[in-house]
Amino acid sequence: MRLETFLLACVLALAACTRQPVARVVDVDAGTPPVGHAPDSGSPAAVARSTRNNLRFKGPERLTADFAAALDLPPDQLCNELGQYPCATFVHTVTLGGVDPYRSGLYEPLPITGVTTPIAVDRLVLAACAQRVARDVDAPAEAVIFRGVALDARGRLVGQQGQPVRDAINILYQRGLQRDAEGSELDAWLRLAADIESSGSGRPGRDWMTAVCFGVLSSAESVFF
Amino acid sequence: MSLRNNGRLSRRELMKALSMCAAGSSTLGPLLTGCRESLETPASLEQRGGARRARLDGKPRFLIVVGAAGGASIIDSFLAVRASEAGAEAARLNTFAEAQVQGVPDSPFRAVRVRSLRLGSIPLPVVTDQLPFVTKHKDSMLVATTVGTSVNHVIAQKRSLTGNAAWRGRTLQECVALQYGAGFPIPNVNMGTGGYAERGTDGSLPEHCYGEVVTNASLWPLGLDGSKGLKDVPSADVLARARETRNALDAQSVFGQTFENAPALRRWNDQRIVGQPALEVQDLINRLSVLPDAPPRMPLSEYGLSGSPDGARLRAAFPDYFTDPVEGQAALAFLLIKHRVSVTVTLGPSFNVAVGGASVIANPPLAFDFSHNDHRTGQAFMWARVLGVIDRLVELLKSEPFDAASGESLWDRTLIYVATDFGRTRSRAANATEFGTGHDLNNGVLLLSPMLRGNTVLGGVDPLTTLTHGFDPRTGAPLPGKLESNEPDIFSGILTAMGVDTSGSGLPDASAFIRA
Repeated sequence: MRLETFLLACVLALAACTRQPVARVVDVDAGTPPVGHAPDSGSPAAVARSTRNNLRFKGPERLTADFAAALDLPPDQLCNELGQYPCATFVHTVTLGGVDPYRSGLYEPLPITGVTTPIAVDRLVLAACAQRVARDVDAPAEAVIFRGVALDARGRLVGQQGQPVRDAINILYQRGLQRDAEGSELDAWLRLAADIESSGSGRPGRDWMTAVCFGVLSSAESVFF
Repeated sequence: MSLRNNGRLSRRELMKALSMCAAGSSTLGPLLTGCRESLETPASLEQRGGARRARLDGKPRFLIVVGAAGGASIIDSFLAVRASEAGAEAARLNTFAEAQVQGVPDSPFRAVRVRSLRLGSIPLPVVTDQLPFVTKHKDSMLVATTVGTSVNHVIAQKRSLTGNAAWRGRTLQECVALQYGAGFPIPNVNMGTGGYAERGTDGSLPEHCYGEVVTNASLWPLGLDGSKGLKDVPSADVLARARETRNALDAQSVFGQTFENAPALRRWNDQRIVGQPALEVQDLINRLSVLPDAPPRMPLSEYGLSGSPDGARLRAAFPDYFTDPVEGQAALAFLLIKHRVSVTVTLGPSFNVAVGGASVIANPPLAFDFSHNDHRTGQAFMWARVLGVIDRLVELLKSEPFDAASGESLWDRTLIYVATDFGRTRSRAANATEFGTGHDLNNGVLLLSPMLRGNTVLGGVDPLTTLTHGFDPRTGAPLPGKLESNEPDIFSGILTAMGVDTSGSGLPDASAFIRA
């Protein structure tokens, strides 16, 4: 090997080495959430940014199990397209990050969410929430989420800002996200109740119940881990 | 002595490179690259792929990939060999009786006819004839011989789409989506199986280039709207307010702030906030649905859905759309292209058995790979299946105008690539009519498009071995001694016919594929 060739090879090898990832000992991952749930502090400085950003989409099995547990519904009844084709285990399985080895030869989940994944999540959550709301409204004594939330003759929430409504929001957060709602979150969902009522909806109370359930369970915090 | 002249560094250039490197200079790469590029002449650049902007007219072209899973053998179709042509080894090679191989007038293609009382071990009569298809479509057909580099199904399937990583590992579909797909809602829809459904390995492409995987074509449109078709849910206006609240809270939440730089969350927010409304506003849940309103199995109207206005004619063309996945995929492919949702669609049979339709068995287990069990009837059945779907799809595309001003139909701007894993081994027991085959690198592929040099075979077949031989991808001249891998040639030929700008790709010039 000629001298110049040898030297150039060495230089290029060393140059390549400098591009190799360097192991880091810093392990500041998700950071420590603010303590005390200060009402609507909204200060980004209070939250440490993840350095790993290793987020995972839950996939059809975890989503089904989590939503079924949160809403106290049988997993196979959460969502069925046209009333008969299971959303998570048949129609939208791969879209939701599942596998389809027998029909499509897909043995591993897709590496990233697709453009239709949020839509499939919305459908799954919305169908499930609609059922939960129907059950809670039809049998208030056995309500799971909207305990004590009454509707007046025009379908509006009785006591729109009242404690039962606030409790229902907290129950949703507890059952769906395993935490209480922040003050800002409570305020936002209560504002939504007023917005829906002023929007001319024919059944504003029930629509709000479905909407808040949908909003909490389809949040990014609910579908990633 | 200089790299600029003879490919070697002069001492001055070497010292310059060393000093740049020592100083951590970022200009070392360009120096070396510049030296290398200075060796290129316009002719050599063109030889390697060169700029082909002349074929870009600003209007989209459409690529349909049919993944012929399992190994569709070209010598069981358009390059079939008669026993009388194969010499002394005819009885031990996969050659046909005279009457089974039909010549096609004014064409280099052949067509195979097979009649059997059973499909391997399945008591299902096989009666197939490729002649009507070839006669009808020969002017848009191009057969190119191939030699692959893998006999593993999944790897070979993927390589049939990337040309064995010919251009940074991009798939053909990703290249087409990059060229034409920016303004399309879902540019690249992939309903294929195994390696045909995989992404390429070039992670630098825009998100819209990668395939949206669809596993149930008939029901998939139900997932194109977040609320339509669901019972007892709030109005669109209420849901829009709920989404707005949710998205705002997502951004403010501890979770949202902690992971605000996570690629997965950024992508999610983009898909949810930008992509989802863009899809929903097009009412694709109805416009892409082939389903009829037929309760109790398909109670569309009960759920506030309607289905596509084209539904009736698509169900007539593909009557087994619900039980035969390939028919459902073909119907959806047509609608995706017609409504300008996608610029490339991938479909094809899977290895799974499909029961239903006129023949009871729509898809034998392992698709073309059923040839392990019984090669001849397996190939005949599967070729008939694939060609039948393509024939109907082409008719639909011909019937649909692309541009009223130019008079072009959708078919005029579409290319169908029948990709396949590999070929099949050629040997058989002496004069056996029922025999199994293994995987073989040697094969050929079928392309169809008015944009191709039609009625053409690139390469050829040696009747004494039944092995195909290669061709010059630039001139199309047959090269009887060439048996080396040519995956990049096929890859380049398809992109060239599709009008994709391959500048800087280093792909071979494959001008032989395009219509003059």
